[in-house]
Amino acid sequence: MTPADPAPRRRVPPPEIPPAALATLAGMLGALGAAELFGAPSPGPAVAGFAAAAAMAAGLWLGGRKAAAETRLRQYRVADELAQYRAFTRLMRAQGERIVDQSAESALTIAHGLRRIDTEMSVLDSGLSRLEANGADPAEIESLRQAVAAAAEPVVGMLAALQFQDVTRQQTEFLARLSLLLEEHMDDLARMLGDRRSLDRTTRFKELFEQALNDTVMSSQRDDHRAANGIDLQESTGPAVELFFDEEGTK
Amino acid sequence: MSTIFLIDDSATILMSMETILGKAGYGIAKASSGEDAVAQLEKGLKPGLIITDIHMPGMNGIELIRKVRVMAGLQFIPILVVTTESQQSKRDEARAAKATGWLVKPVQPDDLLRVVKQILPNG
Repeated sequence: MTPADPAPRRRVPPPEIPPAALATLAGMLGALGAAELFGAPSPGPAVAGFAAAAAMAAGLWLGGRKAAAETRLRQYRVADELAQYRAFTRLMRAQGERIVDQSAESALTIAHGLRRIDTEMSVLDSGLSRLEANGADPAEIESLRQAVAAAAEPVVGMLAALQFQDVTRQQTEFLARLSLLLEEHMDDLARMLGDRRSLDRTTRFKELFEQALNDTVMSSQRDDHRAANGIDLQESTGPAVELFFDEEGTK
Repeated sequence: MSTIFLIDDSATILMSMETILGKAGYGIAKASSGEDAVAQLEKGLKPGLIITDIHMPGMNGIELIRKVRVMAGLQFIPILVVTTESQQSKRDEARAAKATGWLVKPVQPDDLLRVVKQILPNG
């Protein structure tokens, strides 16, 4: 670059002057002009007062900007945290699915085993009958038959008890639905950070809480929902077995 | 002995009930969804009793009962609901759909057999 070819001058934007400082400066100049016009001996105290006011206004403005920036940073931080909590809810749902799958597989294995035991007990009982017909000691056969019956007796009850797996599956699925509602709410909150209108949307949580109630599939879940809501009320559940017709069998 | 048609999306429940009722001498047919149940009934399955869950993916138990009630020859077949739900309003819904009875899971084997014998007195 030669001296004849000067570098292009960069345009530097003028410094931003806060409106409050401008207003104060204008007021100060106005006061000075008025003092001159009316022949006041010295504008000293008035100028000092306005100068102090201007400094205060500028300080307040700068402090406000700094506080707003800090608030904004905090909001970003909270939004980040919320995003991480959403990841936690996904983790919990994935664990719930694993628990359901694993318990279903185990319950089925146990159920198959119990049915096999039941079948083999029937085979044993038939064998004992054949031995008895072939002249085996009746007392010994009877003793063995009682042992077989005693071993087979709990099988049906144990199979019935395996229904727990279906009940806990539905409870776990309900937890997964709750966690989805929470994730949705956290997503809303993260998006609302920094949005002044968020204050108008504070009913969202109530809606989600009511949605959780709609998602229930058993009385114990609704009782828990009421308890979480501070309501001490147990649902009337009715009998475990109910037929919808009268004694004569007519509806 | 009559055939009992079991409908539940839980394999454990199906196996549990199949064993309890099978040991009592009943024939068993099974479906794991409302849609599968309807398909089997449309193919001509004629059970003496239907036992269905309520909360199933796809067609739920109440919808299934409503469908069965308009199928030829099945309007009066007894249908028992077996569910985790015990709310009175849900029971009323099932009753309105013309269910025969309501059992809350987990069902005790004695309760199940007693109710089935009451509905199918001739086996």
